[in-house]
Amino acid sequence: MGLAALNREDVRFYGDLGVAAVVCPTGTAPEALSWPDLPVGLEVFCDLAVEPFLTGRCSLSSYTRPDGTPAEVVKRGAPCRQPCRLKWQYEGGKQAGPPFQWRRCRMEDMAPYLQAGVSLFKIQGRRLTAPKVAGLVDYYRRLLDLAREQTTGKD
Amino acid sequence: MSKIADLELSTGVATLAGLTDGSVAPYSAVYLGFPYCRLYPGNLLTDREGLARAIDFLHRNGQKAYLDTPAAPATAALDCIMDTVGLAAAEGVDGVCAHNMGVMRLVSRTHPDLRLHTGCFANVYTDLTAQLLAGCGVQRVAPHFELSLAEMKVIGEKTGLEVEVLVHGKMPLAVTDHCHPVTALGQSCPDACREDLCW
Repeated sequence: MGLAALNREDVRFYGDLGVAAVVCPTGTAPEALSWPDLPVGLEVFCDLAVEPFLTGRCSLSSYTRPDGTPAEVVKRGAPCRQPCRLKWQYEGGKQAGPPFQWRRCRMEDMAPYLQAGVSLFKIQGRRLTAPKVAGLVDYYRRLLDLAREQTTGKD
Repeated sequence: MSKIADLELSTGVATLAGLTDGSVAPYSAVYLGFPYCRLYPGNLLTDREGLARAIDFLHRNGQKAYLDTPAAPATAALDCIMDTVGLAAAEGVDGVCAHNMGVMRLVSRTHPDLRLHTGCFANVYTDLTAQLLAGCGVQRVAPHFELSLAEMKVIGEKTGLEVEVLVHGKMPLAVTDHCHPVTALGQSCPDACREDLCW
């Protein structure tokens, strides 16, 4: 995902390099993926916190640290401290954010992804407990099966 | 290593007004267009007439004109981008800067004689990446800002590519496919990014 493949030509470029699958940036809508003759597999997050900045195009965490500790370079292995998720105080007193919220795919989202050629789905679950992960996997398993039935029915 | 005589001092200008009203005389080259938002008023990436005049203005002053391209282009934007590149090529632009691999390769294939640079969002961290880009026809790379001068030197020496370094100005930290001032602050477009906001 750090490569931030954003368009049809990006995916073709990585496909020609021998890449088997490309992870799309968070929040990529199905209509943005309608590319014929995909040379690689497409992977999307179906349950995630949508990131306001494109991974691979963001250096905020390398320079902005909420706890005041020395900066680390995220693109060289340091963990992202997600400063984009904090409330930001703007000059002049305005306060905002984080404006980007957790996104959970629904039934009506899954079929368009399948029709767009997406074959790999990802759940952002590193911070979740095992029972929560189990519940999510069960939810998406059923959703995907239903969506596949729906998609196959349309074909 | 480049000889001193080969050094180039460049800057970026978003609009025709910025080019003619501001002083760009000290620069040997100017990158034209605002790569972060196509809605930016007067953006030379969408102002076709302005782009032709800007290229002519720079050439008449003995300066090089490079065309910048969008930092985060969606598929729907590719045709428009290539139209702009075609126009710039017809007007004699001296080179095109791509931040995006798809755009980089499209330009390389459709305009093989055009000088090709990659910008700061092309994720050039190593000489291996730079070598890959060189194989695609890229002649200049802008390594990521986090790299040390020693690392940039390695990229230049191992690939033979020109290496562009930011020496003064704002260092872009992120690119988004949303507009943060609009979504977070509720400002109206196209004025949101022109407000005096700091964070």
